[in-house]
Amino acid sequence: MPLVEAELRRLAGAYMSRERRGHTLQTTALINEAFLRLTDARSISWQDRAHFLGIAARLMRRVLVDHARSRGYRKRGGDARRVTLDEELIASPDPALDLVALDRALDALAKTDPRKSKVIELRFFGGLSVDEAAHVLRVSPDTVKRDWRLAKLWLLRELEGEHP
Amino acid sequence: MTDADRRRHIDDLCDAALDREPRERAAFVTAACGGDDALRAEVESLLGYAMSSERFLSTPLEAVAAHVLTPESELSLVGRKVGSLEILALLGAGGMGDVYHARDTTLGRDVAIKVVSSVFLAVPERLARFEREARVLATLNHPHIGAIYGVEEADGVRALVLELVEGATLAERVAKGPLPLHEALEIARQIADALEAAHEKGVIHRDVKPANIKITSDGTVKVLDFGLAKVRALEDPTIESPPNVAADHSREGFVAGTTSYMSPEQARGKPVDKRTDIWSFGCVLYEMLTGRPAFAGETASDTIAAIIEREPDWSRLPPQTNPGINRLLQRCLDKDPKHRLRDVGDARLEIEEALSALAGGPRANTRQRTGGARLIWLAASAAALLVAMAAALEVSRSEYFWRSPLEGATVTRLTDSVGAEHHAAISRDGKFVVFLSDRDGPWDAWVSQVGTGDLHNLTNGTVAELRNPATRTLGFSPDGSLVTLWSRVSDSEGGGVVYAGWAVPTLGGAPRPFLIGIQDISELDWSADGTRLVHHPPAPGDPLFVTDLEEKSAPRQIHVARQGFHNHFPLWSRDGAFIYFIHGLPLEKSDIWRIGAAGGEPERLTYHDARVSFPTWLDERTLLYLTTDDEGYGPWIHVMDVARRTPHRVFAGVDPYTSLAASEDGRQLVATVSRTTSSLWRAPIADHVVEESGTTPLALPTAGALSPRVQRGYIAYRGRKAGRDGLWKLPDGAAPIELWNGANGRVVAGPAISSAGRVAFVVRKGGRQRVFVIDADGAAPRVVAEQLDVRGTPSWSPDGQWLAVAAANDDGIPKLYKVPLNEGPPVQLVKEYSTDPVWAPSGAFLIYSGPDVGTTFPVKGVRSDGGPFPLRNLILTRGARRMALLGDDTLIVMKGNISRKDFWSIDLRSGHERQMTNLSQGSTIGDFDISPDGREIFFDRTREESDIVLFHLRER
Repeated sequence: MPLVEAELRRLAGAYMSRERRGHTLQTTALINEAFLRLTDARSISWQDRAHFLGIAARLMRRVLVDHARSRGYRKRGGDARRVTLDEELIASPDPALDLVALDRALDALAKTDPRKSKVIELRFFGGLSVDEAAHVLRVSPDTVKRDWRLAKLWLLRELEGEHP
Repeated sequence: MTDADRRRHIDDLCDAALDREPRERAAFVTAACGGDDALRAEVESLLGYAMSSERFLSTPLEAVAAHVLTPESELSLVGRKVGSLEILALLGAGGMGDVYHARDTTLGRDVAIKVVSSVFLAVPERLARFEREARVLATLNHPHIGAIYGVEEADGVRALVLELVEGATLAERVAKGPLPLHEALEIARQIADALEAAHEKGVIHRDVKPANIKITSDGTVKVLDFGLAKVRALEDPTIESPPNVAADHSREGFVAGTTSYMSPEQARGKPVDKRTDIWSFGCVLYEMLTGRPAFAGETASDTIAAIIEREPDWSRLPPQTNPGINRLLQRCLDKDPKHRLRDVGDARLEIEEALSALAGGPRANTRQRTGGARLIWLAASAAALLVAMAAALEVSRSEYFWRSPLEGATVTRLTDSVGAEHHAAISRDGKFVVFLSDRDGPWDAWVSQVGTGDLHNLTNGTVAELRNPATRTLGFSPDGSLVTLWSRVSDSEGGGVVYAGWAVPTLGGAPRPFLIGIQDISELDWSADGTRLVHHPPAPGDPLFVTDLEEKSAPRQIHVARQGFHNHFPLWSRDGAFIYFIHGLPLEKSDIWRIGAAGGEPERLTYHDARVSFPTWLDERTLLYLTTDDEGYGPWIHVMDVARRTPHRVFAGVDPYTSLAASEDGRQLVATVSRTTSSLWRAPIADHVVEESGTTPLALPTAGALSPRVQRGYIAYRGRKAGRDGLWKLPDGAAPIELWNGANGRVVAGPAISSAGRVAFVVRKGGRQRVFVIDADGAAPRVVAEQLDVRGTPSWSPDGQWLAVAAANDDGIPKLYKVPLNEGPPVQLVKEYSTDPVWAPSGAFLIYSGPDVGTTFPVKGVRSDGGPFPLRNLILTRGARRMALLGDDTLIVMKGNISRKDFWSIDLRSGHERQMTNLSQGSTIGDFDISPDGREIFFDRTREESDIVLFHLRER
């Protein structure tokens, strides 16, 4: 899907240059926009859209992790758990989430439990709701919820291991 | 056990443990793992992250992404010096840039600064615009708006310098649960006050949300981030929406933050105006009262879907929520901005009223018995009601920036909601208020001394008929010692004679004739110095007279309206040079005019072409009055500077006002606020008089119902939904059908249904009234005789080929036409004032109403070909234009006085009249219909609940 990737990158770039310091990039809006541009949405079934969203989430992950890696963002350090804090931090310019470490942890999770890894990718990087993620993975929403909460425990432990 | 099995087992245990309360988990895990210590260690190790995992990865990706994609060098200014500002710490980030705590070393004060993105300002035009906007924002000097001090630019950084507000945000407060009603309303009042001040300066917030509202330690509310979103949007319309999506992590399950407060139009990316703030305000108030967002979903797109498609859960509102607040919320959260509350000032007044009711405490404590009358005087906490006013900065660049005279006013409710009150007047010195009330049964004039709570019945049923909505029926003599009354008394011939020349001493006494020597006064006003009177008798054309009381000369006529037109509410200008008056057709088509006190050419001042009434002066230039709006809703309070002549609506709550009067100093304004409810009833047609007990109300799907039309198998009527009048059909034993949605134009008069089931009805839109015809099922709406500006109710010819309507085209006087359905030209039937036709069942003639004279009008007839059809002399009272024919001989009419009527049948040949009903008073019948079998009358009843409110205006 190089076309999709190029389009996503282009859109992400456009969003960012409009408001580089703000938080106006809206994942869902961005992905929907890409989807609409690349397809004739009216003729596409829900399953196709779900499939697309799955791909988009993966691409979004790649785009962002690449960015973070290229800038040495990771060196800014930070315990991933600090992301769990309040609005102050979220609104701050340093969300302190180590995307590169998260990416690696997700890869590790995928080796033992690929579905959990995918759930995180769809929901966090793709902005999908529980139901949407369930559609993409063809499992029940309850399974997605369960995977989501168990995967987070696992990932947190994994990330802490990286930053003792 | 394989690795996979073991992992599954670990998962199951973690999952089960997470379902338990944290303090129970350890025991559960110990028991579940048995002696398997390795398993137990693994599970416990994972569960150690349970707390932090709740919020892990809940940061919206966009927030993460924005920072990942931002060059590091731009990230922080902490420790730098920008001009005279020392940047101390990062406070957060907002729409336009990051916010820092800084110290202004020149002024020695701590401020907040919002650093504006340099990318954003790279374009010179944007920069200029930003500067301009920042200056406007800097004028938003208001106690409830976080101040914007100005712009600081130095060392390559451009920043808005803002007031540093310490305190918790409302978001933190609501995260703990719902607020007590009083506290929520108090905060909402201050928010509304802030938004009102901003909107008056043309500034829209666009991002009203709990996180943008701070509550300082002394309870003062400050709305932050004012107008920044607007500034931003002005620069680049492409990013008008969606707005910045920041996260709200305070509650599990509600991920989307700002999204929750976006208006539907914002969510859809449509242009927004101040009504978007009103929506968000409604969301914030709802959340304060319920502790939950009005609209929430797991993802932003779910939230947006909720905003666009779903109603908030109204059942969550605490049961003690005042109905006015409930209604206010519904009006704020109307998905269609056109139907949403138009002005946040209305919200403020509604909230103040609710607060005033709360402050009044248990009503028993404030009741005072005075001469058998009860008064509930809710002036309890005037101080608490004092609305902080916006400091006046000279921003009056145009009329756009006019200021509401009610801004900062204190509202006191003088009466409770039992019964109806009307026509309040106030003495020149502002010390006494008089009004009509039916609290004791009959309409009487009641007087009250402002601030005391005393209330006296002045007339005690001794004056027969006091009400007349078309005139100012009560007044004070210039020295305040006498109350003047309009009344209708019977003359020796049994006809009605209107005479306003009665007066009662303000402090009590017998009514007595007054102004002897000047006969036939319907309305009057004294000049400022009290030496001259303007008055008119209830004669055709309402001739205006000026009488000099000192010269004792005969009254001098200065103006008379042409036939069919009326002059009402005469009012001296403060300098005595002009008489202002309402001129037009009662009650729906009139405007403010003025004429020199010595006569001359009258001059038109307004162009409402609506129901204008109750003009009153606040000062020598500022005229306050009531008028209905383009669709006929209202009346609402308006204000006009007579030197500039641009009327403005003054927003004062969501209910209509029906009277208005100010004291001489313009500081006290007394008004009637009115709430009406209407319903449909049926009564049998019998050979005896049917009493109230013989009537039955109809169950209806709409809040209000008027103008029933009975057909075989169904009833059609005008129904009110969401404050709009549409057309409904109630089939027997089936679900109601909305034939016409009032949002597409207000249905202003009763429908007419043809023999073929076609429905004709009059729709008012943009100030014009046109006849629409639809099929029986509501399909195929079309306009008939587009060129006619229609009045009153239409009527079908028995064969369904012609529609009789009154239209007021050339000279404003309604005249009857018959309109063929085959698109041929309308044929004029009557050349003089004629309206509300009823076609005889034989098709041979029509009965119609003639012009109003005083409070009465004649009933007339015309042949279907326009030839004469003389009738016996028949005079009816205002409000009874609807008539029906039973066969060609029996006319059914409403007879009685203005506020109470009964059904009568009149034999057109013999003139014999028979009373059909004896209904209780308290509600007004406006329209009716006879069932097809001729055995029942279906009618509407409108009940009015009104109250007198006193506005204490601040100094102008």
